[in-house]
Amino acid sequence: MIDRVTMQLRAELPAIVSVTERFPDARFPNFKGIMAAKKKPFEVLSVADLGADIDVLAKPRAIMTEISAKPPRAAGVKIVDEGDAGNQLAEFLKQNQLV
Amino acid sequence: MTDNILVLLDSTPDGQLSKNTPGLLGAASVLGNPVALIVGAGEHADALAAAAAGLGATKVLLADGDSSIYSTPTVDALQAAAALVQPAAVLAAHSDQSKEVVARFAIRNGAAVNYDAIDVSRDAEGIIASHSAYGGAFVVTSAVTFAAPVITVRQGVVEARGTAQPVVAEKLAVTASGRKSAVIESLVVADAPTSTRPELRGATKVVSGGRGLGTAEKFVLVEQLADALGAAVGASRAAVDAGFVPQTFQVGQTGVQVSPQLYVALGISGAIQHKAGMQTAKTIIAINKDETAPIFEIADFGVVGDVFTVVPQLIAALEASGK
Repeated sequence: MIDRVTMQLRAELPAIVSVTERFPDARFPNFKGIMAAKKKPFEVLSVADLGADIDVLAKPRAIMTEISAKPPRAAGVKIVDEGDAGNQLAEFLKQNQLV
Repeated sequence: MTDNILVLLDSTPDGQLSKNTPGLLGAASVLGNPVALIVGAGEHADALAAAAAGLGATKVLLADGDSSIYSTPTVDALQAAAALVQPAAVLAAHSDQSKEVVARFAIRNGAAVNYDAIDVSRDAEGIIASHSAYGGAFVVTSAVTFAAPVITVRQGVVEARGTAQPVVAEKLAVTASGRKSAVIESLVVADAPTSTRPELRGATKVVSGGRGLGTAEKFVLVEQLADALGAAVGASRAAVDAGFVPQTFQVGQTGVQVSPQLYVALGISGAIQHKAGMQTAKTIIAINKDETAPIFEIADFGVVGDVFTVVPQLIAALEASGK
């Protein structure tokens, strides 16, 4: 969304709606539902049935040209607070010019 | 490099260019000649055009659109603009609105999309985009097989900036496509943040709090340290779910992804989904009671201790040295 804006939208169906993970909890099927689902027919469609264009040369595609792993972060100093950890931390920040 | 790079700019309802604009025009000037498109700015159009030119747009196209319709007028305008300037690439922010617009534009034009780029550049064969993958553990570069790529650029990561240009603004004639659209029923603008703290996205320093803070009242400790450091305030998902702070503070895979110079994690265990949002930070500091917390594996400086004793001491030490 645009910064600081909340919109309410209305659309004719069929519509495509994407949701975030903060959407209310999903409904889970109960036993009866699972048994009923087993009886549902499967319909198998080929790409041709869907009329999809899979000619890779006909349209531009995004391709990956390179992949590189970043060096893993190494753990640095770890101290157990013995009453002066806050001061040590302030010193660390100063030494690294982070304050 | 005289290629036109068409840049779709986001604007806010109160007539400002979005904060991502400098980076977006900066990225475009690396690739060629930035031509900005601003849709539906109304009375603010001239001011926005001048602002865009100041940030590097060599030309600004201004389009009107039915403001009651969501995204379609912008897609129509982008299409008209692309037909006019014949860009070598189309750039847009990786914002919710622009993502939808460029996706629809790409479908209409059979164009390929490079999504969520953290950088753009050129190689011998054309324009390439870099992406951060697997929560920042890998960098992937992508290109398109042919034609002009449509690239969404992650907000707040591009450091390149354009140089100011003379204002060249032009009204763009757009024919409404009349395609099926979502209609805007209501639009609520939240109050401008009253805080003087930097915004989380793009901040150079971030202090985040997690479940370890315990309650919303105690979360104020995070804010105190943030103010002492001049940092933005963030939170883990656990802290957001517990209601300590609103969701806009969430740092992580599904929240804001930050790459600050300094990241301070208070009472955050460092779940993988949180690390995905902050592990590209230059320096990471973690304070947590639990010495086995995974956050310590990536921390440059880790303190096993109670945030409620360590942080006040740190703030006092910072204040003492600041005097």
